Amino acid sequence: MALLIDLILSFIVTAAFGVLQQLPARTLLPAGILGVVGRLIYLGVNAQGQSPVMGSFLGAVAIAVLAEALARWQKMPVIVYVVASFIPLVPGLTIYESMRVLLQGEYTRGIALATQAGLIAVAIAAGLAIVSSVARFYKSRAARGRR
Amino acid sequence: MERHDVLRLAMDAGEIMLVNGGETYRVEDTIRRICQAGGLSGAEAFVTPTGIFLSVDGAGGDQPLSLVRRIPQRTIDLNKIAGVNDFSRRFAAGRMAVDEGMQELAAIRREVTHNHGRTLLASGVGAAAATLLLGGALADLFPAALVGAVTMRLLDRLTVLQTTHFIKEFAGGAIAAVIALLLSEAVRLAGGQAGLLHPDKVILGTLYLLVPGVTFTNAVRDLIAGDLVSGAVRGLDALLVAGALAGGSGFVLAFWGGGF
Repeated sequence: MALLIDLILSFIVTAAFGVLQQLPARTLLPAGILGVVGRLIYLGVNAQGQSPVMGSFLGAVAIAVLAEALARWQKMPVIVYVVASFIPLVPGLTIYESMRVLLQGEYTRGIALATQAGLIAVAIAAGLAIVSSVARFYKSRAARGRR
Repeated sequence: MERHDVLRLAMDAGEIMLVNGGETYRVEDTIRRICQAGGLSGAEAFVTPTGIFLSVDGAGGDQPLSLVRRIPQRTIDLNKIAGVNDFSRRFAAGRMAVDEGMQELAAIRREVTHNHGRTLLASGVGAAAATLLLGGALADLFPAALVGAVTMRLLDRLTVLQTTHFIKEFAGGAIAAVIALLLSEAVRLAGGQAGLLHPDKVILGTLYLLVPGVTFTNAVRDLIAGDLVSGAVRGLDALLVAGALAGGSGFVLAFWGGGF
């Protein structure tokens, strides 16, 4: 039940963020679903006792793979699907906590939390980047094959 | 004459994409595609987040042409990127006159995807959902919706701040923090039990809507495409915006003291 509520909230956050970035109307639903998939994988990996960094990475990979497929299917730029979907993975709470304890003078814990948030951001970027570069590689090979 | 028009059409298409948050390589690709379809040979485009440089060869006795355009301001409207993307495909595929292309671009520029009402609703609903997702209580639902909607609306109205978006994000963090703390103070004064409202979660929920998502993704995609200058600049931009958001709310929280 708690999981279901979490996933519904992820969907709403993704779709609402999408509206604020002016996503085309027909891509809001797919983008929202990608947000849910990413979050589900993140939570699943965390439940296995892995670090949140790993969960964010795998969540981002899943989002990017599905976004590449959707982009080809709906003939839209990939960025449209990716931009909102990774928002439920953003380590907002960790960033906030690190800022809070830093302001209170707990530098060691603050830096530790900030490092974790930074690693998660890098993990998301790496997840998107790896899939995207593989997709580009196949795209350019396909283009050469056609000629 | 005709060559100038094609060049300007390509530049306009690229400008719409870049201004609204398109990736560098996509803008270059679009410009090249339109130039080729318009019969211009040897088109080269160099695009950075702040400007477009475009030139074509002077083959067959023609003069070489070039066009430079500065991009002083950027917003985000992914629907316009999708629109120009689609337009460039159609322009490259079929016989479309340059005039007709110009009209289509003007229409894309004017198009409003989600009006003020819908974005305001999205701000409220989005902030409320993000607050709950981050562990807020049910009592935080309406305060979060209020803080989200009011913050986004105020930022929209404060057009003075749009020019330097670093200040805009800083103000966003500060405004969200002030309203959330005031609300929680009001609940306390009205005799509500302490800790009923979680101002920290409410602030976070609202800040989620200001996360530089497009800039961040573009930085990654630009870097993979080999656009090192654009990628680095955008990465720095995303970092600055995230810092400004945290700084704005942190500034208020630090002054507020006890409630934090």
